Amino acid sequence: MEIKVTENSEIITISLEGEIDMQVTNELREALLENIDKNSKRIIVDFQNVDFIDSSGLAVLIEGLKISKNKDSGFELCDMKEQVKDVFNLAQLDKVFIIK
Amino acid sequence: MGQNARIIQEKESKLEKLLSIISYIIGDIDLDTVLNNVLKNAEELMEAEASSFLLLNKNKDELHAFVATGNAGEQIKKQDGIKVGTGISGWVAQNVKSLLIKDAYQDTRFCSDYDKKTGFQTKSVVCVPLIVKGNLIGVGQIINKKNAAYFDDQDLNIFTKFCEIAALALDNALMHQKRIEQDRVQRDLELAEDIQRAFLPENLPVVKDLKIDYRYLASRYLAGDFLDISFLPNGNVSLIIADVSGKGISAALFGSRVSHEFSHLRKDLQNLEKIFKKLNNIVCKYSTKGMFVTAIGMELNPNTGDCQIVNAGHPRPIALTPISPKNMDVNELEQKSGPPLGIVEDAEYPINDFVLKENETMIFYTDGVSEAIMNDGSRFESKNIFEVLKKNQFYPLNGLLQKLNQQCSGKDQADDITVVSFCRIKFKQLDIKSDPAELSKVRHLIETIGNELNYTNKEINQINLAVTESIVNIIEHTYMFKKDKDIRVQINRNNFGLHIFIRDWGEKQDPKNFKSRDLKDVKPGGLGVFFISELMDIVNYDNSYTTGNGLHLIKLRE
Repeated sequence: MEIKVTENSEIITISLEGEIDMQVTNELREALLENIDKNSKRIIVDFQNVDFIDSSGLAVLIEGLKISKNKDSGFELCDMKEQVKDVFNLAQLDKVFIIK
Repeated sequence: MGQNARIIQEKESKLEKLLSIISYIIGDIDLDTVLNNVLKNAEELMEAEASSFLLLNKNKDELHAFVATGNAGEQIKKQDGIKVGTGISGWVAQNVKSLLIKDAYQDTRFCSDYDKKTGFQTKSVVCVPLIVKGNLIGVGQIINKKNAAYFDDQDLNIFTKFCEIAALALDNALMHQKRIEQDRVQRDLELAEDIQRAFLPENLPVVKDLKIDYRYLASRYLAGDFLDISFLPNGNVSLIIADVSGKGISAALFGSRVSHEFSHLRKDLQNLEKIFKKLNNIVCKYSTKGMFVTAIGMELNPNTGDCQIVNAGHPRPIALTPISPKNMDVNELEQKSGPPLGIVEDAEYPINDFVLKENETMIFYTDGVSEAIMNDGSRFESKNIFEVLKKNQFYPLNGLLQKLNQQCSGKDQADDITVVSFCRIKFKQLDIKSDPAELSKVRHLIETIGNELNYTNKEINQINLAVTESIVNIIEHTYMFKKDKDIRVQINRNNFGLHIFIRDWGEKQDPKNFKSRDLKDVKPGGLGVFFISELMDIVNYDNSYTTGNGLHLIKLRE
């Protein structure tokens, strides 16, 4: 999986590419926490190039969401492929996250 | 001091000495040490020139003597057995009465062989039965009183007391020795079981479009069932499944001999009919105590499904044909059979031809399955086997053993159980390590196969998610994040769906511990099991392996 981070006017965009499973969750977790620590107003995780996510990937995102909430910063997910969105729906997380 | 006073004082001093050695003698449990202490103390206490203690071997009706030789008590020598009823000690053992003999050579019961052999001269003897809880365990004797012509009644009394204590100490040590011996036999049996298991075809070579599977459960450590699956030079698969009458060590030894003979004949001869005829004559020659063997031999061409089967009094194989996703047509194969091996010399074993069609499965079993006793006391019988197989097209062996387990939960397994299946199905097998880096490899294989079968992307993604979660569970819970353990993924496809079987070789897991979290309680983790059960049509935990776990995930075709 590849992770690209772009920052502009108080928005940090974390673009993910590839498959998210147990193999990459540590790397993803570090990237999320590091950027949440920067105390920007919004964090957007871009799923445009993500083909697969499993429950360990969801767990990292839930952790990221909770920490962001505590810091009063926004945490959004965007541009999900249908099969990835399905996983969020199945776990009833589509209402928990802001998915654009 | 008067004589009476001296006698009383002597007696008191001996009793005191006796009390002091009680704790010394009974404080040990090693038989040699206890014997050593008993002999040494008997001689010292009784002022005897020699002592011997003889332990009873009830099976042989013999006494085995342990005597102190040379410097008293330093060396213990075990002698040949003395028949109960022979000599002084034999008389004491037979009559369970003590003897005080002032002059041995004047006593008709005395046997002078020992004196003749050793040059020792026996004069006076006290011989006392060793009794524990009313049972005779041996006899104790002291020979020749030092500084006196013979033993007297007082010596008899003291030695009788001594022997009561010695009997307890010796009995205790004997029990301990027996336990050590039992432990050793137990360890030997466990080792033998491992060896027997090592003979089993653990890693069956993968044949294209022929899935072979088996389960083998010994009723007590060693099984009389045996099984061999091998590949012939012509590319065909050879099977022998057999059940030796009886069970345990003798059946296992006999079975391994027959199995060995079969492999030899299989190499030399082409024709199963001839192989079984020869094998039968060999078994007839070696069979003792009416031992016999029921067996089936088969040669199967994996490309065409052509089978040749010979049957020696064994339960008939069963053919399974899938007719709907959850139903199988079940048929016992009509067969000409010869008698069990080892009964009739020169018996004939005619060949039965059969064609295993694509997607069909053939099941072989030993009568440990059909004769298993259920909780209600009745036998499992073939009609139950048929019923179970009708409903378990994806995992017939596991289905069968799960049902057996459920129906016979309260009963000890009475007989060895062996079941084998041959299924002509298209499948791919991928052996991976328990490393998360391997996960994508599995998903890509499923994607390739899913696309070939025209599954939608959504369906493929669902299967991939369930499979990923299952493997992650193995990595986390079974292998505790160790990355070098084995995991096997088998992807089977038939007309009704995709069946993914995932196998590990780790510690057995209890499905009761597979829990998912409440979806409303949003927190990291706990979703894996939920995904698996939600996304797959059939999920079955396979507990029927001796080591490791299996999981069947099935996605039926829409």
